[in-house]
Amino acid sequence: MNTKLIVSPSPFIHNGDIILKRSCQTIFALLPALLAGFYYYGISAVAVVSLSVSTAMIWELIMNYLTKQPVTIGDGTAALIGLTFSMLLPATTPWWAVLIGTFFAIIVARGIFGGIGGNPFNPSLLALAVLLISWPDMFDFNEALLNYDFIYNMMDPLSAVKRFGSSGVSSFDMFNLLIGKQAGGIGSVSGIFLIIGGIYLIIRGFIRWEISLSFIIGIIITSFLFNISDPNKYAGPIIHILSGYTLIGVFFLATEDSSSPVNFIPMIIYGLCCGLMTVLIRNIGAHVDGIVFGILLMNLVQPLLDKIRPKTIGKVANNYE
Amino acid sequence: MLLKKSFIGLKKTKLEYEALKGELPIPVFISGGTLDNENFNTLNLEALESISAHISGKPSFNVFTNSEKKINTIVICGCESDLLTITNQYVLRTKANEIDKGIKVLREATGVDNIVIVIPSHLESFCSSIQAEVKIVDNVYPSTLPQMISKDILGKIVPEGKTYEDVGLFFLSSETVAAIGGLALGKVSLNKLFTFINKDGNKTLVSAKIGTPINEILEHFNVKLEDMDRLIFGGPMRGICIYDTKHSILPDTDTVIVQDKSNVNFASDISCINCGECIRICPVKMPVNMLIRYLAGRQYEDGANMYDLYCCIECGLCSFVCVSKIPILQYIKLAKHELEHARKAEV
Ligand code: SF4
Ligand code: SF4
Repeated sequence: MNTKLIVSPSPFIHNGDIILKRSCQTIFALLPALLAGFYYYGISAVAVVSLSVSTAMIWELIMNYLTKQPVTIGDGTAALIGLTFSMLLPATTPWWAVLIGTFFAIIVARGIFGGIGGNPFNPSLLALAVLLISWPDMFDFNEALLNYDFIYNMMDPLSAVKRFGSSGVSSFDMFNLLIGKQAGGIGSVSGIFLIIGGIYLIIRGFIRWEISLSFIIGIIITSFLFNISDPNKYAGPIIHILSGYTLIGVFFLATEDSSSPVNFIPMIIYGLCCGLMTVLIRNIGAHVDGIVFGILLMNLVQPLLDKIRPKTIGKVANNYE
Repeated sequence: MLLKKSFIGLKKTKLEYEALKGELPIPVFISGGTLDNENFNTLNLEALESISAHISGKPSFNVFTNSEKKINTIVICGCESDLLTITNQYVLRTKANEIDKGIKVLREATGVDNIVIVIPSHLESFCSSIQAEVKIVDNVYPSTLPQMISKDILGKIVPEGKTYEDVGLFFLSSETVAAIGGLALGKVSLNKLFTFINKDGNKTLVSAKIGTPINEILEHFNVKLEDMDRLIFGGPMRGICIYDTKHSILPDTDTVIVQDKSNVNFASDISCINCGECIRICPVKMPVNMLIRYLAGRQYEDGANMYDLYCCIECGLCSFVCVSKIPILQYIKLAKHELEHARKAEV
């Protein structure tokens, strides 16, 4: 009798961190902020998120069939992309916009670049950018959320700054910003929950703390410089950090694996430049929120940045005669 | 368990070697024994070389006789070369006498005066009688691999594509030295000591004659192998799989592991997601995420030139942590193999 043993290369153990676990943990870390969004925006937010997650998975399935690849929705990344994308949308987003968005996120931003790990840009952000450019009205949070009956000052702080200078945000209480009493995307308004989720991911090691930290430092430095140059026109660092997409961007978008660098110095540069670009676009660019294009721009230079790497131990220069 | 996660935020996976502290286990004797040494009264290099196949560890002394490499230090590893095994530590604790004798023989035979013995810190008290410089090695994988010992302990970095012999080091395990010492004391051991790890993770030290087929050992422990189980010679990080139970115990088999099919994990063909785990864990700071892209596309030449293929010390940690479960180490070995082939074909 011959027993058929498994023969495979070493090592024979694995630490158990697999893609599915990473996606699940990230989704888990996003949940508090998501639930807060549901609380603020009600059933229509639930509808947008559900539609986004499910269509993202369906697009992924379609892509698998079209490219004759093994089915990959089991790894949870499509669901994660759908979720982060929907958390950036206003609760009033029409269904067709969600559908188009997830199409761009899954098929255009990721599928045609070779699926998981191949995307040069953060898929959710690319999709959002497409919507943002094509239907800018949809993202005027003040207009979009007009029909909501809020008991507090519900305004998009960033557009308030844009229109009225920093005096426009003097009516915002920092605490209210932190817990999410501002107009914005479904999951991106409740700062405190995003911070908790982000810190959880950092402690568990699922995102790289260097990126998040240097991103925040970049925002603080740049907005501080703007602020002291003209305090009436430009808001201070705290407003920049607590408003718009900043916190979701810092912890969940800029840190997306395949579009961010992995070596230490590049991560720091990447984070700082993300912060710089964000504030620059917000303060002197045409768009209300700079996070989207700031990160996308840095995604673009990421491969170049990652060329800065430590010298491998034992490497001898030019020993290939 | 094998796994300990530590270090908030930086998520370093610390893989510690098995430490043989406290009471000594008693090896299970399967077969073999010792003979009297009648043939080799003077143990010079030729004599050692001629019987090296019978010395556990199967050392090769060629480098001393016919090569331009100048060995200036002999390093004896009293530490384990892979996780889970306790073989070398056991020998160090029980055979200090033979090791000391072996060191004397080596000194005379090779003319190398500088002999260093590298041990984990908990074995320090057992080395007092040994006439060699004692160095302490960290008990975390992969610090006992020759390249790491030579870098961290002896301060000599092995350049890419070179071996540690090129920087003047010669490595032997404590078991080998003990066997040489045994020869000098008049005994030829026919046996190999190894750590046997059963399906349930139970460890036993086993002494069996070199050449014993593995199924005799499995029978002794009543192990029933089933389809899809894995039988491993060597440790979990660097061992090799055995496909036939008639395979015999070799002079350098330190560990035999039987892995149940429920514990067998498979590599996948998902592409790299650029998570950077491999980069953070690689002891020589290889750009593994880039290298694997080239190797998966069979661009071996470019991998070697641009992404330092030959710096890899084949520790396997990158495969161990890879989120996509890419068999990175296998790709690296394959690339070296293919490049070797290509080079031979050119000549
Ligand atoms: S096997 Fe992997 S982790 Fe180890 S040295 Fe080579 S590339 Fe680095
Ligand atoms: S651990 Fe695997 S998936 Fe992550 S960067 Fe390294 S090779 Fe890529």
